[in-house]
Amino acid sequence: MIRIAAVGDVHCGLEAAEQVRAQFRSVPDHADVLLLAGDLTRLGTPAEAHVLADALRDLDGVPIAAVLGNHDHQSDRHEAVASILDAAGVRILEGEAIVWDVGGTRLGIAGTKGFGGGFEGTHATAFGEPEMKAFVQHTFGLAERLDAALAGLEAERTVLLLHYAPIRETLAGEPRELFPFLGSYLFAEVADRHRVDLVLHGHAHRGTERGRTPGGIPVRNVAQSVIQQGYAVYTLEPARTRADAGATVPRPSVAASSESGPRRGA
Amino acid sequence: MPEPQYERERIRQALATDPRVGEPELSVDIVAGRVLVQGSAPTSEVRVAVEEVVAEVAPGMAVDNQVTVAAAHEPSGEEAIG
Repeated sequence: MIRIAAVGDVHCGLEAAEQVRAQFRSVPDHADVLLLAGDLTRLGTPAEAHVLADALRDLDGVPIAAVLGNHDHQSDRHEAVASILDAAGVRILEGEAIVWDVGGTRLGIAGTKGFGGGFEGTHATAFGEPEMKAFVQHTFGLAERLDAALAGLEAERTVLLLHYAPIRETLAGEPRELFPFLGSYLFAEVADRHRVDLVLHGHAHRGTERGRTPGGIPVRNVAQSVIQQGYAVYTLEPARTRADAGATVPRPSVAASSESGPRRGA
Repeated sequence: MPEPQYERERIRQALATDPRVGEPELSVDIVAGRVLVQGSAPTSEVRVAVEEVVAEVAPGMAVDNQVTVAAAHEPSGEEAIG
């Protein structure tokens, strides 16, 4: 059994040192890995990243992966935020996939921040003003990178980690006017194409925890305000090859990286 | 005083961008002349800062601060995905 702890939207601020330390202290008792679904910090400053990094540094070797969220970009210091967390052993994923050996099972984690645009039928299109094209092309670009990362991934079980939502269903509770800024169906399409086992996201504070992609893959909105606990725990059975699941041939466009084991920083 | 619709959004924009709060996910309504703020804050300090920011942006208006701090306790169980 693979036990996955997950939470998004921690929004760690300078005042939260003791709170986040207490929040994650019990992770080794409940889970084999920890996944953080973006908005790790409140304002995206290096000082906030240090506060969170200190809380995550010594979780008894539990491997940790994360994606950034919009809050982590607020101060235009997202590269520094990622670097600080990486040095504490948190693998920041952006259009990348890694593989961890968890009790003999190759667990793949693919991650990207994701972005907005909306959902099938009403998704924004790359048409008109340069600003609108840039908005939509950012989303398409991230989805293409994720697609390529999953194409190169060899794992028995796979989790897709996002910040923005891939489906409407887990946004239930949010104002519908906000949906185009809360997610994009492109990431559900990638998840279905590669038959991942579980999709995790955050960002939708007023949303709903549980949903499914059009292809039937479980989606969980793990925004802390939704799960109302320090982290949620999901379990996967250890064995299922992606070939068994009928993985399809994706559209490679951007090189992805993979690793053969948990990466722990200095 | 501006129309409440504009005032509402001006407050919401301030709560998103003022670094004391920095929470664009909060909702703001003006109900019977009072500013109603709802949503989730990461800490009690941020929750208190909501009232500071509203007082500066909309001086003289009473604040109904219904922002809650997200629970962070240990999980009580797990979900089997399969």
